[in-house]
Amino acid sequence: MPAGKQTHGAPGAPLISFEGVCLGYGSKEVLTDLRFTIHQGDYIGIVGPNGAGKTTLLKAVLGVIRPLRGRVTRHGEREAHRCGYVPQLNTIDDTYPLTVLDVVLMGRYPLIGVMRRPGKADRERALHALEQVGIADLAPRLFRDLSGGQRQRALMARALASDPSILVLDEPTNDMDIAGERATMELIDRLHHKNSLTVLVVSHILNVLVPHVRRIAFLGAGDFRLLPIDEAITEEHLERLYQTPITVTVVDGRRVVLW
Amino acid sequence: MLALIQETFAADFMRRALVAGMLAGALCGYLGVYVVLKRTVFVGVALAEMSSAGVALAFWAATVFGFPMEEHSPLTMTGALALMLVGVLLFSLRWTKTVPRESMIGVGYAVAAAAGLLLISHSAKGEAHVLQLLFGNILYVSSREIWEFAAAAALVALIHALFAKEFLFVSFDPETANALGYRARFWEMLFYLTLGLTIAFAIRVAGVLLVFSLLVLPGVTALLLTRHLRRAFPVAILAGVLPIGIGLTLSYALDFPSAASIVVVSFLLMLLAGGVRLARG
Repeated sequence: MPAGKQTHGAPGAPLISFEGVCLGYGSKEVLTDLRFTIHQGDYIGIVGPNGAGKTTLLKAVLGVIRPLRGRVTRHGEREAHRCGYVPQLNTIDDTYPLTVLDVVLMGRYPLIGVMRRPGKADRERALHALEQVGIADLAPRLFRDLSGGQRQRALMARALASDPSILVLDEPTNDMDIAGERATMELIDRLHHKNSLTVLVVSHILNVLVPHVRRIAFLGAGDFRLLPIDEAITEEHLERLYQTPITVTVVDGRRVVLW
Repeated sequence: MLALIQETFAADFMRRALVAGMLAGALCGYLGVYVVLKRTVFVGVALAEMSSAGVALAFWAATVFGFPMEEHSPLTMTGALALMLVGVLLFSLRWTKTVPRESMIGVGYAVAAAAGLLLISHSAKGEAHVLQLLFGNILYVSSREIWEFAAAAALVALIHALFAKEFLFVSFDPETANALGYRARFWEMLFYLTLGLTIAFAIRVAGVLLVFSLLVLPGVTALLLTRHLRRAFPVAILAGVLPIGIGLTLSYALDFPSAASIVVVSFLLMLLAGGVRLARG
């Protein structure tokens, strides 16, 4: 099993640690005093309204932006904390006439290196990634011709093609209907369990994440703390965070938050 | 027909025009696919305008400082490349979040056009030279200009051959490219540098109007005709090259201006591609 992968049980070794991290752009601070660690086998949800700094936090996890203060530590070898990234669907340009396979192959580019072209092994890995998300038959189709749900799967396949240890997803269910939302989250569950991936998923809708993730943190609602789902999703905790009456109930074995 | 083609290209200057035009058509056609997909068609015209303002600046400097100014003085190319670089910096970086990047393209175009006019109004020989750049006359191209353009074209082609996948990734999805460790800004700037280099040399041989047209029309034609990006690039090169020969032949036969004839042929080819697209459904 590659480093950085653990399926079940207690969280494994630390992969990425944030110690008193302040994030922002220029002199503008967006998030302050972030303290948490992503472990092997984690399934983490980050919830917060638009503009709360979710994407900024993701960029810091991905290493795209550096902290204004504090320290982000990446433990172990590079492969142990390699991230596969699934961006918000609406950031992808839909005019490019690229096939699904072309798009998924992009996940291989950093591994191939500059000035080299994808080879047969890269194509096979990309096709395998498409199989993992259940759309191998769509490989020759144009990415722009796919439905929203299919595009989301193609982007997940691209992230998987980069052989990640951590799958980072930014609002993966945006603009989806209930069926699409459910299918997407179940696919993420499957990738976490079956493919032993550490998952960090961000959403502005609490109920999208609650039935799936094992730890959760709230942005834009006071202290940022990564808590086990049982501790975080209680009426007392949520009412304190959001300052509004909240009911937590269980339907069909799934925890649901009502307000 | 064959006789007409032979007659058209019997003279040296027509053969030089054909070679220079095909070189510009192939290179601009290839880059034009990106320019159209990136929705930055006006970067082309703004960079062309800045390059021609650079030529005007060179003529003005020669007049003010008393440099001798010959037709193929390296000073004009230096001026064109210098202002092209300013344009690349202006257009490829996002200087502030308060105004969209597109507005910088407008600012660059307007200021370069005005500066060009102001500068040539106070230079001895500049007016005729800059007007030739703006409206272009591919029939006046010299062998030396063709060789210089060919060298620049080879450099641009090499960069795009080596870094094709990087340009594609950063152009299609800069956010994910950044997340996977690519420096999207660097690759964007390198792309615009190759575009600026192409434009600075191409307008010397073909003029602003023709170069701008070659950056847009073949790219659109290729995207209308093909379903996959990898096929769009060779088709765009072909759609850039083909109207040069046809346009020059028509301009010779019907006594029309050469650049405008090429643009019209290129446009008709685009209409034809649109028709094919509609027929395919």
